[in-house]
Amino acid sequence: MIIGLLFYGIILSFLALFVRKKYNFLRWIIFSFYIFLTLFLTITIGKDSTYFETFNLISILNFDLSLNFRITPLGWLFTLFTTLLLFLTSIFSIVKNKNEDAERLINFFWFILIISNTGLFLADDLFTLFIFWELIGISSYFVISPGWVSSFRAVNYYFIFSIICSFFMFSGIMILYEGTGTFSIQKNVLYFISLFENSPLNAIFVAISLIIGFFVKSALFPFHIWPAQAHAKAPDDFSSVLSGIIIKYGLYRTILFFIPLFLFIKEYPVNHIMVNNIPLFSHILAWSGAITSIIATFLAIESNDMKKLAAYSTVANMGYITTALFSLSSFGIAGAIFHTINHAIFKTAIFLSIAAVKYRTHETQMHKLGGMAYKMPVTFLTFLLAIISAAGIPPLNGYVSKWMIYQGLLSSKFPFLTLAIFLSSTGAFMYLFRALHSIFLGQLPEKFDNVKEVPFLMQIPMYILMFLMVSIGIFPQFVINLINSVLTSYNISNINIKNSMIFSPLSGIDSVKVFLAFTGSFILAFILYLIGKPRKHVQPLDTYTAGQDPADFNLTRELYHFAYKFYGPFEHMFDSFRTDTKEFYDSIERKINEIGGYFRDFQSGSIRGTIYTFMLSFVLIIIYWWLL
Amino acid sequence: MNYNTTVLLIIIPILSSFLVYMPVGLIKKSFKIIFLATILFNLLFSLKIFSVVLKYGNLITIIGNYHPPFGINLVSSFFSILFLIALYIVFLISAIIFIFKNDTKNNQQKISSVLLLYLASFSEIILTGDLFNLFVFFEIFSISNIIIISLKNEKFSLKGSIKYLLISSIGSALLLFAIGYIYAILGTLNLAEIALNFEKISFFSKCFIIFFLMGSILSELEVFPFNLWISDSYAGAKNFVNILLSGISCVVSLYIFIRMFFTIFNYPSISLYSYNFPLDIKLLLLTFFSLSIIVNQLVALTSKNIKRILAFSSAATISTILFALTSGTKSGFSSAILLIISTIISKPLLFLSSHQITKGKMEKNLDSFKNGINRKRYFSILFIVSAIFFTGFPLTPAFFGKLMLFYTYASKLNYYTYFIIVIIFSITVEFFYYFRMIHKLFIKDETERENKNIKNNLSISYFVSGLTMISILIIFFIFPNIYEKVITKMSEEIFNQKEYIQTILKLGEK
Repeated sequence: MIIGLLFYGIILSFLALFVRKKYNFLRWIIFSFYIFLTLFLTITIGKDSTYFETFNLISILNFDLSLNFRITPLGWLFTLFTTLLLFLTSIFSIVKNKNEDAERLINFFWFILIISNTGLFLADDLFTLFIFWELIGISSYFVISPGWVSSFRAVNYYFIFSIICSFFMFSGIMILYEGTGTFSIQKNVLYFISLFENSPLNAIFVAISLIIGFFVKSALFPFHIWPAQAHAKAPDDFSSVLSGIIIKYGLYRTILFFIPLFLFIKEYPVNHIMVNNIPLFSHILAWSGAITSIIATFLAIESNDMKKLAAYSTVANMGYITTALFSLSSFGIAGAIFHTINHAIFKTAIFLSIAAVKYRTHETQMHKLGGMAYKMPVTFLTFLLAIISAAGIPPLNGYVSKWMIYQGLLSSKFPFLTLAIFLSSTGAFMYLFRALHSIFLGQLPEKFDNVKEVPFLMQIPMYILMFLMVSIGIFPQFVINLINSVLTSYNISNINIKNSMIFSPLSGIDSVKVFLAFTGSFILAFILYLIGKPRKHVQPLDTYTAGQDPADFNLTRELYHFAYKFYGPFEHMFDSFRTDTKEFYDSIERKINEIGGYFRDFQSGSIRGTIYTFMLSFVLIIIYWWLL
Repeated sequence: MNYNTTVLLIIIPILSSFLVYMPVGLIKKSFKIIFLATILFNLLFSLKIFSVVLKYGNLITIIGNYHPPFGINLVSSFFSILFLIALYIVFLISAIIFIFKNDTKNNQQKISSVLLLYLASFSEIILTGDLFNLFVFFEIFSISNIIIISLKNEKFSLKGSIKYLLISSIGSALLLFAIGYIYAILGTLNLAEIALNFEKISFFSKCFIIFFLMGSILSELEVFPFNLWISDSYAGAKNFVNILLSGISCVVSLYIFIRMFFTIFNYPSISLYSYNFPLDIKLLLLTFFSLSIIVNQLVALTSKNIKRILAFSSAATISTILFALTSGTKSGFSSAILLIISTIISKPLLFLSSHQITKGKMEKNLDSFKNGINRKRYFSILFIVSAIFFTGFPLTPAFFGKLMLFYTYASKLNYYTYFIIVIIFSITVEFFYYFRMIHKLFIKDETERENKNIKNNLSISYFVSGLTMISILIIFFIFPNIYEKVITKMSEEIFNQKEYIQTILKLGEK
């Protein structure tokens, strides 16, 4: 069934290529339909771990290269939520891509990406995993930059990083293959664990080659710059996929490989360096997550482009998830997986509302926007709920997972990590509020007076996302039960949950009660609002000029909208700490180009030089042999 | 079937090459037919031989009843005849393009004569079982290469061909030197007999022979310090010549490399060790080829001329193949074969389609690719597909080749594993510049709309040859089992030096 699904996906993607430009909504409807089909099949198959499929491809010299698929609780969970969010995004895309240029190309490669998404999460062997991993890298190249000059540089950061990391991963896989003689994930993970006991050098090589991929894909420091480039320049609807889903692939692979390994070492810590009852390597990874989240938070505070801001926020969230995951407590791991899902949901909401604003205004610089709340109420509400969720304020879903992360970190006694996460979480308030203020509140520029709410079809996914954020916030047990089945498959103790009451080692919360308390206070405030004195709608400009005509002061609404360099003084504090990571990579690129240029000129040199070089190199080889 | 008819593969092209050149009125009119008929004959006849080889094993052709190790003999084994068929297909495509092209009308007769010589020479190089014969036809091969490179009357092509002439003559001198040395110490030039006795000769002689034989083909193999001709030759040559150079010339020299290293030297188990000169030939070759990979990829990265980019990328691939062969293992060999398959088909297609996309532009640089998808949709799609196949899209031959290459070097941690970083670098750079080119095809060019009047006629010969190659690529993509068996059989043959010697020399005993 899985192979059939992937196969029909490929056929449909080619069919969609031939739809004429006039009827291009049809192309996107086929696209949505396919994702819906995937979602439907994912739910009908269920998280039954006995389901298995094989497709024989080729065998070279006893290499059994066949595609194997199996449903594991973790893979199923990831497939479910990614496909759901992709489906919502695809509904948004139907209208959004109506007049987009190069939408045919975007559609085709996005199709391939969705097929690979399913394949990646359901893959049972490393070979299949690698194939879909590669496909995702290649196809997202053309979705981010379908012949656009503006996004060409941005996509190359992403692409080069992902190619390097995938082939490093591949060399690691090959060492594992040499030991097991099969690509099966389960056997290789077991072998990987035993390798740490038998030949540590090989094991460290494999671990590093796999972890590089994780660092790159999850944009951990020092690779944290690509999301801000790629997410900002990608098509607006695809940014949500990049930020919500594609960035999670590295995480998925890490859970597959490193969690069993570290848990094993945690249990039998013979011959291993342990810090705080967890392996040193895991500790380092947890800290790298924390550092990333702090750096990304400061970068997000600085950025003026709303898509860049959201991208850095994603990086910061990946930092939390990494830290929680490698704290290795059951609450930490569950919190990390839960936050992965929640982050995907609220980040999709944020990017879709940004896309909606951009769809109407064609503007991404925040200081040029403002006052959109009255013009685009649904978008505003989506964004509001999403940032409340992102900041971890109850009663929305982000709160529950962040609570679990804090519980996990504190219960396994990591006060400094908790502090670091807390710091960047506070920073999240700053930049998210700034985005809300600059885009939706404040003054509406005059040129946007005629802006309308986006079409209804684009609003549907926003409604569903709002519903998801609120309902997961109130009833987290539905998701946590799914996560519990994942924990069971890794032999980790389950999260103790009764209805909506979550018990942690330190305390417990009942999300329904939290919700009721918040709703109660809102209702109270609303009642106070209703019974208060009669109100008059005052324009901000009225107060600014103290009752005089604003036109006398040449005062426009834009001038009054305070959004440019919002946190100027705060940024100024950190001027001396600022280093440009992008410049570092750019300088590497320049040096490679310089060396290449030298060789290029050398190659097209004179005829005489050619002969001398030939003779000289031949002699040099012989001398080299003598010296060796 | 008479075993000795294999020689027709060489004799008929040579004869028709002289025939085509004759200034007789009748031939002047019908030389195209003779030309194409010769190539078709070779293709069909080699297929026939292939079927016989599949049935009865290696075919040995004895000329003049001098049994090996004396005299000239041709050995058609599974490996060589399959190589030959692949090369004939590329040659046919290039010939079709050449014949139906308008701008070479004046001297088409002369060029077709040269091309037939080229055909005869590489057929002989691949089939021969005799070192001196190889040398002779290698000379003819280089000379015809020089002539076809200089066909375009431009500064570049002349410079390129003179460079090639000088380098290849030094190479041939080295080859002749090595042959003389081998004859002096072994008294034979038969490949099988050299292989039989190679282990017995002294350490110094072994090294001498290896270095000189290797030095002779390095310029053809486009390995870095010896490949200074390709920059000008590829950029200055005509399109069908580019196809020949990238699809045939370097592959033929790769074949020579495999024959020498695996059949004669028995490279996998070669022992080059003495107390005075402990030579680690594997390390030497690996360093050498890694340097070549890096430099060629860097030049391809920084070049602006399309033909130059493709040329250096092809040179880097050849170095990668050599890198894979250097391991001396079955997995390395199969990786090399997979990469060769990918190169033979997709490289000519890349040259063909890029030539069509940039047609009508003054400068053939990266910017002339802009808006290609709207100007030349068919060839742009060909370019994209072949580039994706060449770089190693999952499930293509190149992908499996790279997979085997990683297995060869990364599966066991040792000194050589560090070289895998070179391969990762190379793959990354390669992906970058091919995707940059594909990206250019989609860029909309605003200045283009003004001169819409340029005729956009699709030449049939390009269309058909592009279609042929793309369908071969797609067949390989859909049915990977085709090359699965081929690789198994080829590696069995190449890694069984004894059988090769036995089948040839047993005949001599009778």
